[in-house]
Amino acid sequence: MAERAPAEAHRGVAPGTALAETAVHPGDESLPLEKIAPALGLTDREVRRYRRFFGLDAVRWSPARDTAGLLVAAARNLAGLPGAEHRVRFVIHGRTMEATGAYSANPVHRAAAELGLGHAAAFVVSQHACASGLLAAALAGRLLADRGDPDALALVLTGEKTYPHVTRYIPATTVMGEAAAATLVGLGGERDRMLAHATITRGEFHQMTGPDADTAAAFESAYPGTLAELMHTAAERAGASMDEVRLVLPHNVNRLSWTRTCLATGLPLERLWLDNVPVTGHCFCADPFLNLVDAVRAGALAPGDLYLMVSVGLGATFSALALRH
Amino acid sequence: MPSDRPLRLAAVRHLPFGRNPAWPDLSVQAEYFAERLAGPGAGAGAVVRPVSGNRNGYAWMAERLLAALPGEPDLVVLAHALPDCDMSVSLGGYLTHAAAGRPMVLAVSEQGRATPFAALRLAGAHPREEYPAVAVLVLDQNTLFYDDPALADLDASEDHAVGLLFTPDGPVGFGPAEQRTGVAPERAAELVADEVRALGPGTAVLVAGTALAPPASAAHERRAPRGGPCTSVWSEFAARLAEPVPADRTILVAEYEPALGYLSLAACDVPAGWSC
Repeated sequence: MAERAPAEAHRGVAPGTALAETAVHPGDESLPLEKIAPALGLTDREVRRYRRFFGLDAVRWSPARDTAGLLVAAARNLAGLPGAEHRVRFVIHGRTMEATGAYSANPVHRAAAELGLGHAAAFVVSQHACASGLLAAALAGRLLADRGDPDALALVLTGEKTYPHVTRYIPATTVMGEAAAATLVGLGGERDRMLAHATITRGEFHQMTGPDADTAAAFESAYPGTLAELMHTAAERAGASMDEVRLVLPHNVNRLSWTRTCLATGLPLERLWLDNVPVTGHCFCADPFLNLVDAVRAGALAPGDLYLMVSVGLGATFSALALRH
Repeated sequence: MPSDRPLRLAAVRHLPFGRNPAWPDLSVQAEYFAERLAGPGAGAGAVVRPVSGNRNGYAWMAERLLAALPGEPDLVVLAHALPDCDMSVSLGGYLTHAAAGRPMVLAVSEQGRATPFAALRLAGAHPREEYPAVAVLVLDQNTLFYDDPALADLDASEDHAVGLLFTPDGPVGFGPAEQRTGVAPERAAELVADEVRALGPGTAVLVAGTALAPPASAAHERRAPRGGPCTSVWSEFAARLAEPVPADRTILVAEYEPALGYLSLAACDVPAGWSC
């Protein structure tokens, strides 16, 4: 295919969309890199490199839970779900890897049933890879607005299992974790109002298996600038500038990529919530939601603060939600 | 034919796919599925086996389907229930790169036969001022790496793709797509019969999925062929629109997903003389 310019950024949230509550399943076991290195095939030197350069230290896995179990564990921690099940009209799993098992596995439906949400329309959203969770949250607002019921809710679920072959680590990039998040999305809430959703898809980086060295280098080169453009776009669509963004809740791939992005954008590193990078590893679509819960718990967001939830999916989709706490 | 339906259908295309001439190596994907089926909760009764099928990945199919549709969509919503067999590329990234107009691409899955209706709901939920032209691509590929009792009657001879293009001035009023959950099989047929009656006598055609018991009151019923879980009812819908209708006609597409108890419905108003 001929070389093309990057895709246009897309806007899109339904007015009034808000994150009513987010809860997490932090993963059942914390495993230091040294302990999982044999399973990943990492040498001692690579472990030191992951720690020193990438800021990774440990990872959270949940070996006794399947995909549905991860999602249920997160949703069980939602204080606002018990008693409000009848208001939930949609259950949406934002998923990096679409196929979790056989056709009949249906983890999102098993999770919905276990949570007493069998009456809700449940499905999976994908093809933004690890940015599909942010897409799911934006789509949840769209569906609720289209339905026209101000009391209706959608449950957005994120989090996936790791597997040895492809999804336990990305060489020279990150280690994958099994924490999960559950977010109730509604219309008209006062807290965590969604102001804008921006995505940029760099489709020239669509090769998933065996990209050549030149393509890999081109992606690494394009990454910080595209991410910077995306965050500026999201802030702008929210009617603000990056200077007004109080906090960025990023993916937890590694610290180095964010350091480079900050250098490219002038964004102070302290405005990124990177505390979970050495704790959870990269938990597929769940990272920004995990970081939201921890940042709020730590008092890093005050009422009225503008913040961005940001993720990047291989393939390659850069995605940001702009929200007002 | 006046219609106040929220979407405007401009074109429908159905493409069958035989053996992929590129015949991609799928050994990595075979390992991927072997790994996933070994885990807990991966699907009761599914058994890993050597790959079989036509090896048509969704990127291959969707690119050709998009090329067969007129116009350049701003949003592409993919709908599939069967997994992709070729994950060597990002389907979303590939299509964004390959398609004219660089659309936003997303995919809906894991709703069995109801999945295309979920995609249609999402298509209808996006404001036209942001996404004037929307394509919903319904995909079924039968290259699998395991046997699953739930897919016992799958027709593996051909893969299928059906594309629906909605534009601001499409001549066919369409939708909204509706989904009802917790519907028992016998109740599904009653509800469909009620919908047909509500459309009025004489002009309505029912395109019904294979999992629906035939409603007694549907005088003009078209039964979808067996085949892919998502495309069978929509390929029949495309066939109904391939020739001009002599008079204004409403078509009701109805599908039932027995494993989930989801009844899905979508109606459209086809003006006399129009064909896709």
